[in-house]
Amino acid sequence: MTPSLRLPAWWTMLAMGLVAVMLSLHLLLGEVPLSQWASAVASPQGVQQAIFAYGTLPRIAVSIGAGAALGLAGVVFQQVLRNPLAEPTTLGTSAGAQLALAAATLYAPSVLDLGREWIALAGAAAATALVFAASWRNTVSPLTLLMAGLIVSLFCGAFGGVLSLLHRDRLESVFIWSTGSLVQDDWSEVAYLLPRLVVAMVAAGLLVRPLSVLGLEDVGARSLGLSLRSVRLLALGVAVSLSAFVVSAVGVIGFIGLAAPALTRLSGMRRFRDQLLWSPVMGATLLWLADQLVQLLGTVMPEVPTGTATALLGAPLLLWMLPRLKEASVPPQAPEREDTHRSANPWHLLVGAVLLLPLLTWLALDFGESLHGWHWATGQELARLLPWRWPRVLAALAAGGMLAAAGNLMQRLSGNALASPEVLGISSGASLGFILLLFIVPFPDQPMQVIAAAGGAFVTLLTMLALGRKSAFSPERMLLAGIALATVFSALASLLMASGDPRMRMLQSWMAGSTYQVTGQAAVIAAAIAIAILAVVPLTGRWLAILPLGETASRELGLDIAWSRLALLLLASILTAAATLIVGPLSFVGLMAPHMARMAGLQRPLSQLAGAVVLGALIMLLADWLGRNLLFPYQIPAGLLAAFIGAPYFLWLMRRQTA
Amino acid sequence: MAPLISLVLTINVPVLADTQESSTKRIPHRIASMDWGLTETLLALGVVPVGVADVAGYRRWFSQPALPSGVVDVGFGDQPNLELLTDLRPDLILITQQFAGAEPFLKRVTKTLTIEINTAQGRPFERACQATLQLSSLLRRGSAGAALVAAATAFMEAARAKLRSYDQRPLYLFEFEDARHVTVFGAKGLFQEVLDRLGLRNAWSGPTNDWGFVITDLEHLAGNPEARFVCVGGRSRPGGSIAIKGGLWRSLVPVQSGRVVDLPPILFYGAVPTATRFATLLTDALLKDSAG
Repeated sequence: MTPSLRLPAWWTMLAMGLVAVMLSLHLLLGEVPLSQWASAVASPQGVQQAIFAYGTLPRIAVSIGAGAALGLAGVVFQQVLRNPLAEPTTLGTSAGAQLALAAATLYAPSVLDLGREWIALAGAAAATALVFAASWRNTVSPLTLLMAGLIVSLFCGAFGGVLSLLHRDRLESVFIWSTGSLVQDDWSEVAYLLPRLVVAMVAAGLLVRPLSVLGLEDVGARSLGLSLRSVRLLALGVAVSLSAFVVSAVGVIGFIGLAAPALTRLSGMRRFRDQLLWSPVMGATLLWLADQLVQLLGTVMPEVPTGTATALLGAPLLLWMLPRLKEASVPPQAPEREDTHRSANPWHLLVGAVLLLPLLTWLALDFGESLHGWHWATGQELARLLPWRWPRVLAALAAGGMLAAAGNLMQRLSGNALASPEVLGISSGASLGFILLLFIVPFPDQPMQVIAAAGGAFVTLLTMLALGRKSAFSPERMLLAGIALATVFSALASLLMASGDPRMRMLQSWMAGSTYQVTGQAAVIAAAIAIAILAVVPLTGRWLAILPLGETASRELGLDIAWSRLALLLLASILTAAATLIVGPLSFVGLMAPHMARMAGLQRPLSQLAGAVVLGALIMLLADWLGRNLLFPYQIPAGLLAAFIGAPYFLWLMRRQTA
Repeated sequence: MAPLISLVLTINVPVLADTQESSTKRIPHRIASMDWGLTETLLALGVVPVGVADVAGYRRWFSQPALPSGVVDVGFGDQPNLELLTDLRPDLILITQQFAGAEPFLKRVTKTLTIEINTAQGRPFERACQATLQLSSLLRRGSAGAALVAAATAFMEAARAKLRSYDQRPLYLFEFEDARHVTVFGAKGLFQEVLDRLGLRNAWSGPTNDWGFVITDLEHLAGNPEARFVCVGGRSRPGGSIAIKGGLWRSLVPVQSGRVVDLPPILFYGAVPTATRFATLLTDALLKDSAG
């Protein structure tokens, strides 16, 4: 972070703290006059005093405690990962906790008697362990961890999506919890949070010295004789436990862990020791103030859960911080050797896959479960079923092919093998457009949904382009901006889900990515877009070959970097938007297919692209067919099903790559 | 009370013999229903649909009128299995506005009929009564619909008379979502309309959505300390078993004075049978509680 903007250290925090105190006093005095405070706390008499003693006061305490914990966790994460964007939700902690809670509510409610905190903690720990497992061998490298954390979050989200799709009427409490409500009904959460916070603070304090050294480059730290891995793991353990405690006590509260350390640094705190001390104070002040503001707003409009509010406020902050970041040093991708057994002629594989395509298409059209069990449809029956099946099959093929192509372009463009349309932000943008529509029109019809989603994708694309221009469309920046958008989107989505409105079913099935709503016309249009754009993509072959070599090499070879990146980005965005309209924002096909093509030995840009498109189409076709038949007559959306396979694949791939 | 409600629910008027062949053809007799409220209305009219949405969910929420075992599950109402529906060859598909998204597809299977029960204008019970009459005449159930509506109306009037001995405290009607959040039922909802018919007052005057509920914090139930609490679904969460025992809950006046009534789980967006069932359970519980 460049100290381009230096805030006077004390004044900011003091001013925010003062406002928080004044708002709290205003709230508390409105409930109970000052003279009765002592007796109201000791033994509350009447409703007003009970709200004061069991609602308002513990809520202030919880907001301070949770804010401090998040601030501390954030500063430790950022120090260990050497990434100013790391924060407690980056490691998949909250997503894992939420999934565990949802699963327990549905399948083992008696376990909830042990306390929901413990279930959340177990889920958080498991998700985090998964992230570590995926990035273990790379001495816990910052970027790898961040990516793995994102993927685990998305996977938990997909899993939770299936659960909520199948048990919609019983998940209300989990939805409420996922919005991060600080509402209290006694001191139990405070009693839960405080001792754990104190222990974690002491532990972090003990780690001050080794962690300060960690801030240096790896080589410097190593020369001091420190075991990097053990210090990092210890520190991460403290930070993850802190975030899990907060998540299990009050739910998902985003961005405090990001903002508190950032503001601390902006206030001129350079030394890690100071940051470790002041970041929790800043976090506590921020969340306290945010919660008071939310309550003040709640007097004139329906109250927004605090977690949602911080996530919505935090995203602009993140986008503001992005251009001010020092160029994050991404380790150059090591050329893959071990997983590419150069087959005699990889084109044989491509031809084989192309031949397989019509065969599987026929299967998907003809074979399936029906009222009379599994069978091949013939004659009249087939004629009756085909009008339902062919649009879905064609749309799945087109979407799979488009996502694979978009993923391939993204990976070549960024020189980052882990790039995929999910993190491009375009799919989140399309989904935001759809959500916005639900606010305006209660029951939108299909054409309106399509227009809204395409509009959302387009506006997102424009925003991304505007943000990217400064950094000559630097791939890391674009990825991070995409992640910020995905966060806003999920905050808004969980807020809507928690409203309990029955029409949120529509939003759910949209996010899950079902081909159900595809009409014949829509399928044909999707296929036409796919063919048209895929016909243009080969013209970019030279860029695709040169860009992964890095900026310097590309410039030396006479490439206009900004222009070629912009063109590829546009192509990838259109492909992603068109596919998202069909199979939803999450599938990982765009990630899987290019890798599978490369592993099969298709190394050159255009042959890899061709292989990826065919494989992507095949994967989506299969996912759609399975989704239609596995739980017949109920249907699992193709996008979710693909993500189910895709996310673990991604993590496995990371583990191999970083080996 | 119980015999009366089972009478209401089992009214089964035989199909009037239609002499003219051509007109029988126009009467839909293979019905598929995507909405639970419409499903229970059909069953109460003595019409067994060929396919309904989410059979397990219906059975979980609606013990009465019971769904016969031969009815085919067609998947979720907003995304019913179109191939299966085509195989079932229904001649009429019933949906509510909530499932409008699937309508263009359902129309390709056969004729669809959208019946609005929960709307921004409220009065879902009145609409459910109209829906009952509409379906009864459409499906040639003779006077079954009118009888059902008349029985429900008469039942509510009788209950209103009985409730004169009730202590007339206003009611907070709510369901626990977790220990700190409740779904409160109010204006525009089915439960509110039943309260109106029974001459009972709702203690909640805050805003509610088109389905007549709002999810809010526990402390908002403190607005009227004179009220009585009615916990729909009891004091534990569906599925979970978190006991509601926090300090704030215990210090609410109705809780301290023991004015808390538990009702079994009832879905807030049913039709006439649900309204009758709710009225029965509520009346019995209130009379018992205010007497004891």
